[in-house]
Amino acid sequence: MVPQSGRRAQTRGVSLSPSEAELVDTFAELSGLGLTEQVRQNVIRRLPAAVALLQAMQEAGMHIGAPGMAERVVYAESDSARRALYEDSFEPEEATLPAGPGGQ
Amino acid sequence: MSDGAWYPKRETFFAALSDDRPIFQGDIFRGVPTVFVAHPAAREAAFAEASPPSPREAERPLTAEDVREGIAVRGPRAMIMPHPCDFSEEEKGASHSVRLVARVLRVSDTPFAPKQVARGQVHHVMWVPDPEHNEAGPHDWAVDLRTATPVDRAFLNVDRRIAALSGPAWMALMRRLVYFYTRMSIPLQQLALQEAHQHPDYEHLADEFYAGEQASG
Repeated sequence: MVPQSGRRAQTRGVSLSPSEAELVDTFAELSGLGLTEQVRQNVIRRLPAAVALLQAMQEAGMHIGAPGMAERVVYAESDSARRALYEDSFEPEEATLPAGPGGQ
Repeated sequence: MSDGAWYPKRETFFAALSDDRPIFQGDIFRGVPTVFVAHPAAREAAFAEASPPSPREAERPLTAEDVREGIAVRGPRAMIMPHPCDFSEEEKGASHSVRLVARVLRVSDTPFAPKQVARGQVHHVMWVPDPEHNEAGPHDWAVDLRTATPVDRAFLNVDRRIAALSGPAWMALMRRLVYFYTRMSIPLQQLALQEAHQHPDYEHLADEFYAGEQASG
């Protein structure tokens, strides 16, 4: 019978190379923290935020993997753009400032 | 419409602002300058409509006054560039005065087509949508990563903050910064696993998760 409440342990297998397993065991001997606690503190604790953010990115239409970077825009600096580099453009502040990104 | 896979849709781009929201990577401020330091020889050539001198052709002894005269002050909007660990007032930021920002300008003030910027095709630029519009256009904003400028921490008064990035937009900024500086395109699932819990809108989720576990256990 499945209990209606209370913590129920579940197991997941972890595939490790021999040297990785040795690291896990050595860390456990040194610290008293076994693999479960190592995973909980280093991975699981980050997952609530990571899951929520990945879901938000998917809903926002973003490419989650590494996107291809083949397309590239290269342009030659125009004479006017070159001259503009040497001129101040800092707008003096007004009593009511113009809106910017964010609309505020 | 989606403005491209590099960036989240414009309606999901910004986080809600409040006075108690910590200053974070990607926040945009008004009244914060960036600068360009001109070399006197290059400046003279530009206004004489001559070709830009090579660094060897421009070589001359310079005084601090020569350099100071060549400083062009740009602005007035800028975005915070580094990871918050470098400037948060509760971390390293309390121990140093340098805040690195980059200029935010209208796409219409760049030589690029709005869709090129919105699709992430201009590699030294971070696209920022204008919330007054529903489609990509010259009204949108571009953060020019080539204009990174150190400014005094005193510029970053929270009252001058005009925008903060949502979690997805922050991910896009970090990916853009990595690509700009390294030409490496990193997958967002790695960034999310390592960094999502740092964002102000996501940092509470681990505590909520374990509080829920405790309540149900």
